[in-house]
Amino acid sequence: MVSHRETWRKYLWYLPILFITLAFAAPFLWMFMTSFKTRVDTFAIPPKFFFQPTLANYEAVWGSEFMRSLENSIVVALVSTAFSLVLGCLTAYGFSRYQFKRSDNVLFWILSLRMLPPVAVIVPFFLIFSAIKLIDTRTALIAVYSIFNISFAVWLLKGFFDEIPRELEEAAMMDGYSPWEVFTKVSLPMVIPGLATTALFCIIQSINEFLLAFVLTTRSATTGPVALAKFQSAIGVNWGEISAAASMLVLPVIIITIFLRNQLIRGMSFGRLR
Amino acid sequence: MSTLVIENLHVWYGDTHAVNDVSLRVEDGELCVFLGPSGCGKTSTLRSVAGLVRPQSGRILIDGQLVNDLYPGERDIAMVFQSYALYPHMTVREHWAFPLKALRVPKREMDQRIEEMANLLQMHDLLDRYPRSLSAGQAQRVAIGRALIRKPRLWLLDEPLNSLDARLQVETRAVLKRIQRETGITTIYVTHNQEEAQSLADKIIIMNDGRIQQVGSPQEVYDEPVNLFVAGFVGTPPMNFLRCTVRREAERAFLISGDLRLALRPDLAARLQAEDGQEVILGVRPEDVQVLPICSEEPNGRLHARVFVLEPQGNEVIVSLHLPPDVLWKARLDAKGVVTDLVSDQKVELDLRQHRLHVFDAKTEARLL
Repeated sequence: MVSHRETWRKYLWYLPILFITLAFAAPFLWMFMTSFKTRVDTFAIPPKFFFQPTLANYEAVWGSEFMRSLENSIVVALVSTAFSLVLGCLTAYGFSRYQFKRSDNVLFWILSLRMLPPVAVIVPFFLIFSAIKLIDTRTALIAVYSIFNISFAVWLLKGFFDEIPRELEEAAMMDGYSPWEVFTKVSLPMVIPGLATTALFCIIQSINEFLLAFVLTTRSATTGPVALAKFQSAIGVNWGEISAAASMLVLPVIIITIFLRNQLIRGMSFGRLR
Repeated sequence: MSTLVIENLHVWYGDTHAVNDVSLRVEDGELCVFLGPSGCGKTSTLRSVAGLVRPQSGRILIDGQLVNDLYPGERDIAMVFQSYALYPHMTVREHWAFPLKALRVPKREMDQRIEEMANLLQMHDLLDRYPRSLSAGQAQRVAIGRALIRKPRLWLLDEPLNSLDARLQVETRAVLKRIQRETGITTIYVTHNQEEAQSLADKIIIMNDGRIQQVGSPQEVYDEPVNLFVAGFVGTPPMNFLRCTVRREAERAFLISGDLRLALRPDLAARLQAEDGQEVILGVRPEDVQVLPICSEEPNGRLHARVFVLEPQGNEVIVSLHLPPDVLWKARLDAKGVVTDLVSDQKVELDLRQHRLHVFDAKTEARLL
C-alpha cells in the first residue's frame, strides 16, 4: 500500500512540471501549428487544433529571399560561436590557472563587454564598419557577435576550468606532458560539457540577435530575425509565412540542442569529478 | 636506480617560510619517509623535488644532475597524489598508457607493460573501467600503476593512504612496501602518520616548521629522539612529559617535581648535560612506566598518581594516570600482568625504567640525556 501511495505522489509531481513545460512550449506549438494552417484556419475563432495541414506556407518561404537570410544566420552563428569557443576557452584557461596582477579587474572588464547594451554601441559600430567598408557583410556580424560571445564564453568556461582539480594537471605534467599537451589532453576533454553549454548559448544569442543585424545589414547579409520583420508589408501580415519562416529559423537550434543534450545535462550537474 | 640530494632548500609562499634550509640525501633504492604535522614543509619539499613548486634557493640533484630548472615531465619522476588525481575521461588502461605515450613507447611494449602492471596490482578485470566505477582501494592501485609503469628514477607519494579506511590503509601499506622492494625504485613517501612512517621507512626524516628535526632509522628516531618535538611526535600513545628541576649533590643528580625525587643512576647522572637548578622536561615512553598498586603516605621519591581510566587493547592495557596538579600520563601494561585489577581513582605509585628515560632542556627543547 505504501509503495502505491509513493508512486502516486511521484506522479503528482509531474503535474506542475507538465504545466511549466506547456507554458514554455505553447508559443512554439502555436507557431508550428500556424505554419501549417491556411489563412482561413489561422484566424478561425475558436482556434482550430485539428485542421487540414498545408505546406503552402513553406513552399512560399522556400523560394523567397528568406532562405538566404537563413543561411546568413546559420553561417554567422556557427562561425562566431567557433571563434568564441576557441578564444574563450584559451582565455578562460589562462585566467583560471595563472595568477597575474589585476587579473580580477581584467576579468571584470571582459564581462562588462557583455553587460554593455547593444544600443549604446550601434552608432560607433555603424561608423567603424562604414569606414572599413564592411557594412552588409557577414564578416561584420561575425566580428560583433564574437565580441559579445567571447566575453560570455570566458566567464562560463572559467567556472568549468576552476572545477578541475589542480592535481589532475600536475599528474599529467609528471607523466611527461608539456603545458599545452596538459591543456589539450586533460583539461579540455574535461570541460566538454562546458563547451557544449557555451556553444549552445552563443548560437542562440547569435541567431536571435535583431538590433545589430538590423542596423549593420541592408540586403545581402540580412539575418533571419531581420528578414522575418520584413514579412510585415504594407498590405498586411502573412502570419502563415512568418510562422513557417520562424519555424525554419528555430530548427537548427533545436537540432543542435538535441545533439548536445547529454553533454548539457552533464554540464548542469558538473562538479563531481571523483 | 637513483639517488636524490637536496642542498639548502628554501621555499617561501609570500611571507610564509614553508621550507627552511633543508638538506638531505636519499640513497639508491631507499624508501625514505618525510614525517611531520600538517604545514611542516614536507609536502612542499616533495613538490619541489617533483618540480611543481619552484624553490627560492637551494639545489636539487637526481643522480648528480641538477634538476632545478627542469620541467616536471623532464625529470623522470612519478608521483602518487593524495587524491589519486585520476582522469575522469580515461579508463584504467588509458591511465596506464598515458605516461608511456608521452615517452613514445611502441604499442607492443605498451601492451606488455600494462599486462605486467595488471598482474602486479591484480587489476585484470578492471582495465576497461572508468574511475567513477572504481572503489577507493582500486582507484589507489590505478594511481600506483600509472606512477610505476614507466619505471621512473624517483617515486614520490604524497599521503597516498589518507582517503582509505583504516583497514585498507594497513593492507595497502604492506602492498606498497612490497612493490617498492620488488621494483627497487628510490622512493619518497610523505605522511603525517607516524605509525605508517615506522612501518614503511628505511629512513625517516622528521620535519617541523619547515626544518628537518631528525634523520634516522625508525628505531633511532623512536629510541633516541634529538628533541622534544620528535619525542612527542613519534610513538602512540605519545611520550609522557613532566616538567622537573635538576638537583645536583656531589656526584649524584636528582630530578625534582612535587613528590617525585628521582635519583638518577650514576652513569646517567654523569651523562646528563644539565646544571644544578636547571629547568628540564622528563620524557618517559608509556611502556617504560611501571604501575605499582600500592601507595605509601610518606614521600619515597617515587611518582604518585591516580588511575584515571583503563583502556584494554586485548594484548595490553593502556592506563591513563592523573598526576597532580593536572598532568595526564599513559602507561602501557601487559594485559596478563598483575595490574589488571586496577580501578579508576585508585592511588598508585609509578616506577620508571631509568635507562629508557629522556631529559630535554625546557628552553631549547634539545635532548640532554
